[in-house]
Amino acid sequence: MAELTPYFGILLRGALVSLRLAGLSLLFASVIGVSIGMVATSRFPLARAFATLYVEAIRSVPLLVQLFFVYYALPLLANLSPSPYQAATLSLSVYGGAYMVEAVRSGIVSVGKDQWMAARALGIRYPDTMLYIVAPQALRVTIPAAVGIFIDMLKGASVTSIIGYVELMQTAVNIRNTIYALSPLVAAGVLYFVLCFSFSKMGAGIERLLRYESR
Amino acid sequence: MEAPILSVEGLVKNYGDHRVLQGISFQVQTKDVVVILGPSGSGKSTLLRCINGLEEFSAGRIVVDGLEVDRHRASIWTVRQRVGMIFQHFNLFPHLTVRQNVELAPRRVLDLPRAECRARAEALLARVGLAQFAGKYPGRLSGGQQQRVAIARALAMQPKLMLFDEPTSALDPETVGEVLNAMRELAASGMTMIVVTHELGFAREVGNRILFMDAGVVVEEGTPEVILSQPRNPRTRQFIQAVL
Amino acid sequence: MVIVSGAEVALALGATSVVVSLAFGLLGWLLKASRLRPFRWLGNAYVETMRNTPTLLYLYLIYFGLTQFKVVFSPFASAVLALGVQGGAYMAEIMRGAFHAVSEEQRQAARALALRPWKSLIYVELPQMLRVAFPALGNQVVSLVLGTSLASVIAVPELTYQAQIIGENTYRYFSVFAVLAIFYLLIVQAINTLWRAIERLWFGRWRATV
Repeated sequence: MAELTPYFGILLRGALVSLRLAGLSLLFASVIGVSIGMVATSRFPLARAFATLYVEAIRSVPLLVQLFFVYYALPLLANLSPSPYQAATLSLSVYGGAYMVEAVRSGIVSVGKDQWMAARALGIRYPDTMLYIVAPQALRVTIPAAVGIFIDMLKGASVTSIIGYVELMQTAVNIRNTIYALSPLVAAGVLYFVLCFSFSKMGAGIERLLRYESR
Repeated sequence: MEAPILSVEGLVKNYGDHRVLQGISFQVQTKDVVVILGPSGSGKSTLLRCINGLEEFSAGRIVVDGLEVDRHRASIWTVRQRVGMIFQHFNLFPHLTVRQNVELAPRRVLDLPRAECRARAEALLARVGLAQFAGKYPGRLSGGQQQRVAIARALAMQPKLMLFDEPTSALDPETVGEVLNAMRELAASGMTMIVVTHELGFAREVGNRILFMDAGVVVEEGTPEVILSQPRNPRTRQFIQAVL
Repeated sequence: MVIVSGAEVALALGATSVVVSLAFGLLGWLLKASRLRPFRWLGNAYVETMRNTPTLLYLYLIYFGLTQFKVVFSPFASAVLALGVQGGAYMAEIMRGAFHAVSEEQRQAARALALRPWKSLIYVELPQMLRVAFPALGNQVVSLVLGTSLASVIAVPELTYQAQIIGENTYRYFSVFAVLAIFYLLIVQAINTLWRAIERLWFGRWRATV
């Protein structure tokens, strides 16, 4: 384990890269989630079908394959050549987006029909209803779910190492290939654990907080 | 007089700080039909569940058919073979057909051959009037039918004592009658029964002893004629008048 | 077609991993449910560790680790081990949830009939647990099958690996990965449809729970 000490800083930096990737992707995924989530709960069956199609498709294909598609296949279509970082962010965002759609949808659905009816009876229109009445309550379900999705994306970011993006996993593999010991991988595992575990505890705390506020 | 089939002495049960049973003592002879009445929270169900070891008790002694009831001893399983219990919510096994529900215990506990288990099941289902439902799943039966299956299931073990924990409380009024009829037939055939219920009609017609319980104590004990028409204790009187 | 053999390997890998994960899941659940604190701690540590670390880590650990300790496992076996051990944690949680979903009243009814704990588990509780857990088990199976794609990094010749090779040879990355995605999509839809059909056939007759 001692042979690892000079590399510890590099590992931590790798962890930060993973965090940044997951965080940025979560941001984009949230945008996707909110927009398509609203489509998923709209009145128009065709729109809802489109949303369901997106979610089902993304959840039926492994993240690695989606990553390869973005990195190797899409460029041939559009004549672009994304960096591993760009491909990783795009792929992870689209992937997380599907789960965020489900999280947003559950959130919106958790606000009962009665609330909508009460709002309409008061003459409040859809956008304001959504913004001031439904969204605050929906967040009570969506935010805890989003934390879980973030943790999944943090773990999923490890897959981006396969197209050469240097985040925590790739950093660990590189160190391993330099010093031929298992310790960098174990250390990376510990880092992943500490990060994910902390976030999941945080998510549980947020959930508890949000629940009490409604009392 | 022969030895009582059930003897309860000084039964105490604590649930945390709350004393649910405060020293209950009584005896039951074979062929007795004892009806236990009382308001909710009086400890009636708890008392029943102590008898077959489903609940732990803090002090006192229960003897069933010569066996001491002690949850921590292996003999409790023999006690449970000799005591049948009917629950308020039937608790039939949803993944087994009606016939399989009745056959399960004789087959897996008593290790009886399959043919005999099946014969027993069919005879008992016929006895409670449900022979034609043998191949159906409990989910398809009405509450009253399910409870009658539960009775057949308990009888399949040929118990010496049957405990009924509010058997009709969860039933629609139309189906209460069919269950009470089955219980009436059972009593007439000589089964020893302890019934916790609110059905005073049943208590009067079928019961030969009534125990009135309130707040963990047996307040009054006597024959149906006395308890239901001229109760001695004011609390009993209050309860009977409220229910009637 | 090479890609079909890749699908076969992927499905074989998936199926084996499911079995292994069920075994580890059972172990994990029993540990967590144990009356002895050290066992409970072990069970919790197992589940929490697996849930908070990526699958790729275990693939690398086993792959690199074994070569270091001179143990020879085929890539397929390494992948099965990695996927199975990690998946086991999720299986353990599914089993635990299903156990608690079976009402206490059912256990009391079994006990009142003098069914001892083991027999009660086998004849009364497990069938009901299976019904409760069935959808979640289906999701877990799909998850494991999708997870087989990661085995490509340790050179298991499953779908993704074969697709990569074809891609490198023909440079027609778009068609290759599009077809690959469609393959996975079809497999997942097939599993889901099959799972729902089995659920309807097997548990459909139970209707309402008593």
